[in-house]
Amino acid sequence: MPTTELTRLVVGLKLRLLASGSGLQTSLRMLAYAVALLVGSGVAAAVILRADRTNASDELMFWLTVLALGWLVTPLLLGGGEATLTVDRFSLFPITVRQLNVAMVGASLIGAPVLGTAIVLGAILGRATDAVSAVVLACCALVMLTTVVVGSRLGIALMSAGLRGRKARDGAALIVAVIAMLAGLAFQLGFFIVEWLTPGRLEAARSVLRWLPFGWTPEAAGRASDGQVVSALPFLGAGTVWLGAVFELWRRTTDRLFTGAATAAAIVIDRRSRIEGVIASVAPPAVEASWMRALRQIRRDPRELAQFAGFMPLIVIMALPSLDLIRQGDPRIVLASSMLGLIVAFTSMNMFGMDGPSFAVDALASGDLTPVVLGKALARATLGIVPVVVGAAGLAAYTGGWHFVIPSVLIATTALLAALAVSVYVTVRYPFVVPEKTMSIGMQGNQGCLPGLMSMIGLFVALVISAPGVAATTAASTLVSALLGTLVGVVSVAYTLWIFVYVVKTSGRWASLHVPEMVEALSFRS
Amino acid sequence: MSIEWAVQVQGLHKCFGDKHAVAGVDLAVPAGTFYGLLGPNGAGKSTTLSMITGLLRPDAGSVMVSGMDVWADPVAVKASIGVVPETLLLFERLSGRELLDYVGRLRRLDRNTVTERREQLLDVLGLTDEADKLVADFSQGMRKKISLAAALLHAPRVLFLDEPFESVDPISVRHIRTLLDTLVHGGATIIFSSHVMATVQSLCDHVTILDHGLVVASGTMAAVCGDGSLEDAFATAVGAENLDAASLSWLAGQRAIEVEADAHD
Repeated sequence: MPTTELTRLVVGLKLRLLASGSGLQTSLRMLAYAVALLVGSGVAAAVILRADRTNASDELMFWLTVLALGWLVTPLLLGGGEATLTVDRFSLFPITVRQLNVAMVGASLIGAPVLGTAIVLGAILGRATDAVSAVVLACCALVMLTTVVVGSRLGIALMSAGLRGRKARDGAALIVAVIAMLAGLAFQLGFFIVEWLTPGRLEAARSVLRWLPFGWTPEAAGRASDGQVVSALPFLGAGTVWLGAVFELWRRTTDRLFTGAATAAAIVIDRRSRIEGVIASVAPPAVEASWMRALRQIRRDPRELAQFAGFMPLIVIMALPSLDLIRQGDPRIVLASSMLGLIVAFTSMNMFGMDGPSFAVDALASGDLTPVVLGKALARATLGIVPVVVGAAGLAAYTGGWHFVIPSVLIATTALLAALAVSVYVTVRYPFVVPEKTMSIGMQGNQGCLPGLMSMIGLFVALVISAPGVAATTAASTLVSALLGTLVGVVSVAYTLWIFVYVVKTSGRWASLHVPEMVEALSFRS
Repeated sequence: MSIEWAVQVQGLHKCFGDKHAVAGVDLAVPAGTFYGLLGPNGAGKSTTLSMITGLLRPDAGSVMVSGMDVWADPVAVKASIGVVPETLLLFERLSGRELLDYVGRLRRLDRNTVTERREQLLDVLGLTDEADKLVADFSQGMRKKISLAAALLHAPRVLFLDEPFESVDPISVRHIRTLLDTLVHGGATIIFSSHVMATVQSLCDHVTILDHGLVVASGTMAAVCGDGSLEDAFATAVGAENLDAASLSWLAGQRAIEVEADAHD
């Protein structure tokens, strides 16, 4: 089959796939195009309007490089973007890899991000100083557009090849989660970054970036916009060679995918956890089973780890006002360690959700779901108390406030039990499945802001429940004595423990009688 | 002598939107039998099994398993049954051994019993060497086998199997059949859904055929098949028509040309 015909077919396939989405998806896609048009036009206007600034070419070079890097990172953050056209799906057809790569470039040129990028790159022609400079800038725009498209396809193919092993997939998921969080943080700090980019810093950044492959074409564009056409040409040439190299690397990666050279590596569990024996000695079989399984799930599922990592900055921010106390070595700071347990409370509102579709195993193996629910809650409690004890001991060693360690643990236990009681209730009554992969807005299974909202509401209710006990223990410890704080703390724990036990029993009973509803809620069919 | 029923289903209904997936199914499965549940794709087999095993709430109808109402006392019913569902959604991040441990302990078996039975089942099903891999890295056949092991661990009195031999290698199939025979000889009941007619005919002593959510044939294997094969009885029951092969003559094109050329020679 000729390459042109294949390209036509693949482009047609992509258009058909785009058109066959649900009504909501189609609307969102139209919205994406509108946003791309709007944002692209806005940036394009800025590119043209800022042409008179003294450091205009530094600025142009810097932001074009950021654009190129953005295209490389985007497939990582969006989990591959165009899953509909991953190369594996073409491996059975009688076509060469090179033909397929060319066709895929054609298909990749359709999409809102490409539209926005093309508008921005088109605008750099407005920086031309003369006709020759305009031609060079047009070439730069063309090379850059092709490079970013091929680069993103390479990113997807590399992910596809590299992530065939579960270990790699899990590791990558965690890395992506961390990148996404950092990107979110960077986005919020965007204004500060722009402020930070003084002309001197831009020039310094350019002097480094121009020697990196993804900075070559932007450097050529920067120089051409200054009228330095001759000195721009070597960079444009290097950028074109870089495009060829990226294309070739993509072709080879695709070839590896076709021939199965990218092999899977399975994880082997060959040792028994030490904590298993301890748990087995304190809990009946069914509770122990659920407790251990939940701990394994939390340890092995990168989504769980990403959740913990996601809430960590919040806890750090909450602890910031206490920095002065730490600096002064005030022993009362030991009590602040109880806040570490809050991370667990934040992440416990949907304890079945991470492996929701497997809930049928729980439902079939245990008629009474109370032990399952209790085991899950105890796993979270274990994870909550350990950092509190370690944190309290660390702060006590630093400040000498050892007498505050027990009140601190009691405060944390009071809050944790209240939070877990709410978590158990929400988990059982309002379960929802958390997808394995990234879910775009509008896709089935996407929960939008619901998980965060439920966590916040749940935490608020838990705070209301535990507030009297926490406040009384804290006041008794700090205003009277640690001994009184300990006594009040024991009463507080007993109060929230009673609530916890009551909620676990009623929720377990409710779950046992409503298995079909839970199966439905925890499957992707719902 | 009165018959002891393992499963009794009366007037079972289930709708999904406009689709009437199960439209009034009655079933009576005698205890200690190997019972086949057949039907074309979309006939309502899996939906029926899901409702019998308590995973899907029926719109109407009653289900009794070993004399207990599934919806009145689900805890007691689940303690006595084992299920290998059609869609194997297992805990992906447990190893095969850990999964069986988990299920065994959840069923309140003591640790030694779980370990002993787990290793025996892994051995019989040819999974011993792979049992420390995560379930996520299992092949489809291995997932089917580990799911079967989990369903057998507590020696259930009634076992529900939805396509148990799908993707399973022939040696394992042979071992599984021996295992299931042992279970039935011990007095357990197996309700078994499959599309492989030869397997159903060789294993089952009773059979029910569903079509469009209704029972279209039911009884002992001899009564349903008569003098013919189960495949013929199935085709008759669901009203299948023979394919008009002539309409696909292009598939035999090359051979037809050669035959024609030979005839001219």
